[in-house]
Amino acid sequence: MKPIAELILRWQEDDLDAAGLAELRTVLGTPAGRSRFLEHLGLSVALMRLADEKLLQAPAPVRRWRWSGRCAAALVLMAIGATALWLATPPPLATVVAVAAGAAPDIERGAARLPIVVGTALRAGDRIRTGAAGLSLRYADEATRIDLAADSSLRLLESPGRREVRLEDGRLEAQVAKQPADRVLAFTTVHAEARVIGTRLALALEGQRTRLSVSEGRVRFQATGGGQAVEVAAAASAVASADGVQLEAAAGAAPLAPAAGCLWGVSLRAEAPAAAQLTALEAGIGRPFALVHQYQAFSDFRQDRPFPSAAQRLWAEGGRLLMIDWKPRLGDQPLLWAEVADGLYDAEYVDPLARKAAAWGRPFFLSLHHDPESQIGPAGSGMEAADFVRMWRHVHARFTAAGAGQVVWVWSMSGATAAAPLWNACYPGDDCVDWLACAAYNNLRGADGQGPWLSLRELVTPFITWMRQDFSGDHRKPLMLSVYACSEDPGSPTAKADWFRALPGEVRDIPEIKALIYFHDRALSADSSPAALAGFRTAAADPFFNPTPRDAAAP
Amino acid sequence: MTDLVGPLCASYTEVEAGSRQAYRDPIREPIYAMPTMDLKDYGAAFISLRERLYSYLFVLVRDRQLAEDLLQELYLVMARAVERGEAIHDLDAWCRGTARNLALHHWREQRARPRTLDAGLLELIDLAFTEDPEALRRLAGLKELLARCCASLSAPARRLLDLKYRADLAAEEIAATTGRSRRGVITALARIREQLEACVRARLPEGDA
Repeated sequence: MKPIAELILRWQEDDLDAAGLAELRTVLGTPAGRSRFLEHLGLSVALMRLADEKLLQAPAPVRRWRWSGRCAAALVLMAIGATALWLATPPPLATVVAVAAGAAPDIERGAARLPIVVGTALRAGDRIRTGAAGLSLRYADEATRIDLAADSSLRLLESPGRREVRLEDGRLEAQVAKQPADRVLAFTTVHAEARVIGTRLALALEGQRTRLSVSEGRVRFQATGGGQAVEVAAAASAVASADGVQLEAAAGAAPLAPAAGCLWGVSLRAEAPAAAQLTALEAGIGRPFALVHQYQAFSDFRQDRPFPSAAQRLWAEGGRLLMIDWKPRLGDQPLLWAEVADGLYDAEYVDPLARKAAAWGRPFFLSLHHDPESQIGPAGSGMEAADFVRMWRHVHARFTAAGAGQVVWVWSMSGATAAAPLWNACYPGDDCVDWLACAAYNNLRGADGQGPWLSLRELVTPFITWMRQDFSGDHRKPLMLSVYACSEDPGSPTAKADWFRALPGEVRDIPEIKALIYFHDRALSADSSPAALAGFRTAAADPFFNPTPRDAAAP
Repeated sequence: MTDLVGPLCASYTEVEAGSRQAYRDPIREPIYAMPTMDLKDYGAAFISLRERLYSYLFVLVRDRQLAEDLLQELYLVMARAVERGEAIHDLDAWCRGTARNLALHHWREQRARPRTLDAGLLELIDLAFTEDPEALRRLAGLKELLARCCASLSAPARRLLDLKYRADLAAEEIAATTGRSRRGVITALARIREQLEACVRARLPEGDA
């Protein structure tokens, strides 16, 4: 029988064989054993806290001396000398924790050049060079780990409130622990600085530029000399050169996504003549929309109904993309997701639209049941999140089978904070989703002055936060604001116009957003006042919302 | 109102009509239900459970930083549940259940769940937390006593503890740093801990040991 402490330690290191595991089970099979397990765990956590307070570090030995005047004087002199020596020798900043076989790395410390082995203490100011293979180092007082590739060099620098890892050549990867509030950890190259809070990143010097790739968290990436800065989110990358820094459009590879900039779209009222609305608004802002959105029901696409409609065909021929928000409803009657998933409506509604879409051949956006979160029902209701996913995958498969592979699938959520816990459960999978979407309404209750006045950035924060933190994995899906809108502020006639004018700056800062669709409806209309229309026109003219058209070939 | 309009249109029209009370989107009602619980109270209760939940997460994910991150995530999940008006009758059990899901989600994401962390062991660990809530604090609650016992350890022993519990190094990394074998590090740590436990128990007041 192993001592219980060793048994648990080995279990935590995943170092138990079958016999050891059986032994641990036997221990945990009794109340006394379970109590011992918790005591062990409690002690571990207590030791962490003591260690954080540096109470585990060995104290200086204390000895008793019989003092004499000479002895005291000698000791004072020794103490001065020792202090001077201590001051001249900065404490270790980091330790080398691994050196790849075949590597002969060294440290340049002042004029000296020292070999590196595992356990070598690194100090502020050290220049570390790898040879034919890389090494890993870890800061002494935090869990940040840096893997330096072969043929690379870096310097570790430290000043009050700031730690700097200066990559001088080659490439590094880092897993950065959360930093204390009073300290900055910056990764720098000759081109730029990446300032992190807690993240996983890779930094590489590639000739005349530096590339930053972020796989977890967020990094502020700023050109050297305090130039332009961008925030690089998880699964995104950016490049810095003498021309500044620029985000790389990872999500832009999705079908119909612009490589840079953002599609400027509009959602039209169903009741009013859509063509007239569009003509009037485009005249008001002096440009065509890139994207036109409409809400439609299953019952709109029976066998005998055309798709696209005459107006939709005309818009598409005018260079506009089409987006259909398709709701499983027959008139006012909602359909059960489970029934759609089981194919009950294939023959009458799903397959006809799939065939017409295939025949049309043009790519268009299609969203199936936007905002599903609020309709999720109890187990067995046919309206569970799993039913929604099953419905989505079924309809997607029917379209694929019909040859409508050019359809671009937009998974559209409400974007409300409270709905966030449901989003992962509602996600049908990367293989049948091309874009993500959410809604963003400002001051919706503003007619009586009760609603909060929020910027677009604030409105989309819950969804963006989920995308960056909770939507784990390498999805690389662009985001569409499938509807966004702002009402007038009765207390400020120019507030809505100002809200519109702020859009280009705000959307530029959120690289995930690749399309936005204004909900042009009644008092929310973009032209609800001359001032509002002027603000909307200003935003629409921004080059960011006029991206270079991409090839709209089938994805 | 046709169904072919925006997701909030029905509610919006009612606002236009001047009826704030009518601002009830029947579709979104479950999400926007008024909370029946006070988030502040739950927050305070969560803080009182913090160390316990951290310990639970740490034992499941075996990484200090990750356990901290998941603890923050756990708080957010709880806050959302409270905002939704979800009834949480037993906060400790609810948080442990959610923490467990977060940890399992982490391992699924990593595709590297430790082979020694199976469902049966998880059940036993959960049972330990349920039946003897004081056990966690029995040895660890007396911080000054523990600190004094740590001070009595040899310098190499304290260095090992420091590498393990402050730097959060795995046994393999400690082995590389100290020139021992991986198994040797584990055995040494186990002995040091036993020594510490014996020290703490010997100094505990009568009846507490």
